[in-house]
Amino acid sequence: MSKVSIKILIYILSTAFLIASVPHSVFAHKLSVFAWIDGDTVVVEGKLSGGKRPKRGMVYVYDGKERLLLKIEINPDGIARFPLPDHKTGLKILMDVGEGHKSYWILTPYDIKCQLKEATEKE
Amino acid sequence: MSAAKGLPGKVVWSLIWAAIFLCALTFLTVSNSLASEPLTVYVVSYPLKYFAERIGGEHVKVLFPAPRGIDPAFWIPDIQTISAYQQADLILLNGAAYSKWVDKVSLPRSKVVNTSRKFKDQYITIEGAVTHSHGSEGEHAHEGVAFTTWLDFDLAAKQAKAIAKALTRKKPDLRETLQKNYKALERDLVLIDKTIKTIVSKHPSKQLIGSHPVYDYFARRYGLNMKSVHWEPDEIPSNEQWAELQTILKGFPAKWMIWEGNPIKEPVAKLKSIGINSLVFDPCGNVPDHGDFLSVMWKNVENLKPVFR
Repeated sequence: MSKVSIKILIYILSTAFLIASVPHSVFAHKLSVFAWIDGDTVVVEGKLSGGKRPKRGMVYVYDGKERLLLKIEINPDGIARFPLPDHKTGLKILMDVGEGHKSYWILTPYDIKCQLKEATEKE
Repeated sequence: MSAAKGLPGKVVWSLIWAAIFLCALTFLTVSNSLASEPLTVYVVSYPLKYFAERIGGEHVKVLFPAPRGIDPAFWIPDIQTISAYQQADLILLNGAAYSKWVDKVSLPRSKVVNTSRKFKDQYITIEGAVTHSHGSEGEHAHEGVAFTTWLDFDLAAKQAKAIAKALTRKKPDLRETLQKNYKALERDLVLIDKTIKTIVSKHPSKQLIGSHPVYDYFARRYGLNMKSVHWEPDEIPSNEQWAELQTILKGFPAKWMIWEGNPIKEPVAKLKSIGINSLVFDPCGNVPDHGDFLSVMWKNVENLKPVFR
């Protein structure tokens, strides 16, 4: 191998190493959150732009008056589940996966009523 | 039944027919009263409220719950208000990434109308977005897609048309009235459009500074030569903001700054001292203190005239 080839190889390898060492979150620009009722459980799902699921993060559940009701860790599939709390004023469900990537979903009392009704009708 | 047994057959049949007739009459009365009830329409901006009220007239009850004095583009309604949106007969959205909260809730598909969907391909993408904050709305960024679509009055007419179509779908028996009202609104919007074109055509290359990045569609439609900063009419610009303006002015010696609202005295005086005049072109995203959408736009048009004289 010539000296020039070795230099090119070193250059390519170091560039590849640099790209690989950049944290994954730099490429993940946007977090989308969606929540729904499954029986008596609230399911929260997070997705990063590109379709990947966040592996770590927290979910904060607030009532309609912005009072924190509970916080829970997401599982490695980017999902969190918790029992449906008091929902008279609705729920604001915030997911924080770190490095500024936060998003939320709102379940209004109307959403919850409709989803519970739908589930009952299916049964 | 024993009483009925004693009645002659003809009488029984008459009673049955009378009962059927009464039921039908009641049904028709109820249906008519439901049909004549105004539609409850929730909107996300004042221009949409104005358009829906002009087109729907007495047949619509248009609700725009954003508080006065805030920019509805960045407003997030509380959960109770979102519930009210969900239960409306019709929900009119501006589209073009206006009111981002609509992506964080589930709004019934059958009720939602994105009034700018038809010209999605004409949305303007903002490059080099800057995050900043003002007022009670907190920090926000003008990034992604520009949203002040209605300042291109041709696009505004298209949004009005989408509203007319949606209302007609809900109230087909009012087709003629709705169409007539829409046509009248369209004429008003076309007149503003033509007037601005005529004004600008006198000096199309005139350089302008927009005090806020909300004039993208306006500038594109009327061929304005404009660059924007991120100033607020009710705030004194910081040293950095002045430095940014000075940098722009080096290669772009504008003599006019266009403001979203009446600016406070200090920046106006300082701008004047460096040879820049100020004028207001209010996008009117929220309910105006005086007049309505049309009167505010005609005032804007008047304000624009001295620039191109």
